[in-house]
Amino acid sequence: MLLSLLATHADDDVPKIVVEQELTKAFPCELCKAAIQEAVAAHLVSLVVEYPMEQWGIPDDYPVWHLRIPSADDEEAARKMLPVEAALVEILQGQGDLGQVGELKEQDARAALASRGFDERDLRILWIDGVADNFWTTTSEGQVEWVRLVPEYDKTEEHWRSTEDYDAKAIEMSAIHMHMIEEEQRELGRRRLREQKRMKDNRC
Amino acid sequence: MDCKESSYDCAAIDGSTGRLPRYMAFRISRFHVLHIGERAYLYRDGITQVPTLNDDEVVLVENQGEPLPAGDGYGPGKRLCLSVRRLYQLTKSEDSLISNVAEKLVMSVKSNPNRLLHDEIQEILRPLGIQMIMEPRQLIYYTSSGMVMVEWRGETRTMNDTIRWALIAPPNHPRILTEVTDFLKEHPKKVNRIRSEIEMEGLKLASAPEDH
Repeated sequence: MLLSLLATHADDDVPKIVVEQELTKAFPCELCKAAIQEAVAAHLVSLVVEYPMEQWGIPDDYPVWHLRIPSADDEEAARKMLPVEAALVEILQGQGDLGQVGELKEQDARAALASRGFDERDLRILWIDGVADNFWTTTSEGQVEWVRLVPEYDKTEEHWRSTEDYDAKAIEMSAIHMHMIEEEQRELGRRRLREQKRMKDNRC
Repeated sequence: MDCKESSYDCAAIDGSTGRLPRYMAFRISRFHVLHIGERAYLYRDGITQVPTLNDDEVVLVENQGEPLPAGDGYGPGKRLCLSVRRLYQLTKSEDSLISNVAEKLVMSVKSNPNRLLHDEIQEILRPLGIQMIMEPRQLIYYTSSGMVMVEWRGETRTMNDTIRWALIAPPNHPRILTEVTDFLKEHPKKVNRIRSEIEMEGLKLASAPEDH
């Protein structure tokens, strides 16, 4: 029933909570949750992070868990994953706090993976291309690094195009900064030459 | 806090199939020097710490960076750009010489966050209830001086943060203001709710950008 429900919405990711509500009409709640969990673990269903569409009638202030029949990309990504990467995805899929779905502090992710027996070598870089990446939040003491499942809205072509455009603009901005540094260096160079000349004159 | 054309920008982002709710993010880019390069000697006097990468890390940026086209006063290929995503990909390289250096460079980037951006997020945006996350995005290598710069970028965390920013500090730039105004018009309920929240918190709203 889970799979046929998702198949009827083949073009859309369906919020997990909507799927649970639908399944609960026919089965006990706990059974439905367990079935979803098993289907995700067996890669029959993909669990992804996305803002809910208006049609589902649930708050769209934050991204929430969505389910879908795995796409070719999902299957390819799952196939290529190293054991430590698969474990990281599983751990991130267990993070469901409101506003922080699929996100975990890097330090906690590292500890969770270490407790599963992965060693320092495995844990050096917690990043999976197109699947899990990093971001930082600020505190009064400094930055906190997080690992997250890349949300679906960050994978769209529009997002890529917009980001690429902005990357190029950012480089233009850096040029202003760089010209200032170069000017400062020219001035430092001139000052240095003047000092060298003065020292030479003094010696004479 | 105003949106300056050269420092701040925002981008409209649509879902590829039109099925995602339209959303928008304010972005801030900040740059700093990660490796001072050949002119380090100029800074010897009076400056105790000069930002420096190991030679192998610099060579990695030089070898793996994409040449940038001519512009901003630089000739073609005079600047090389290595995206941080590409750098992370290199950490997974089968060539252990490359992956080891890439890992070291990732650590160097991570341990050098942009302090100005941090302060802008922590001291300006946070007290206004605006959440912004930050990440390193690009490394730029200057062939003439061997200098490496890093870009750290901030992005509003959710649509609500973008709306809050737009209501408290709408951008000055006419194009960006138009984009922001159109975006707000698409979400009247959210905008009204967030406007009430801002008022209840005793924060000052800018004159309504939707009215511009």
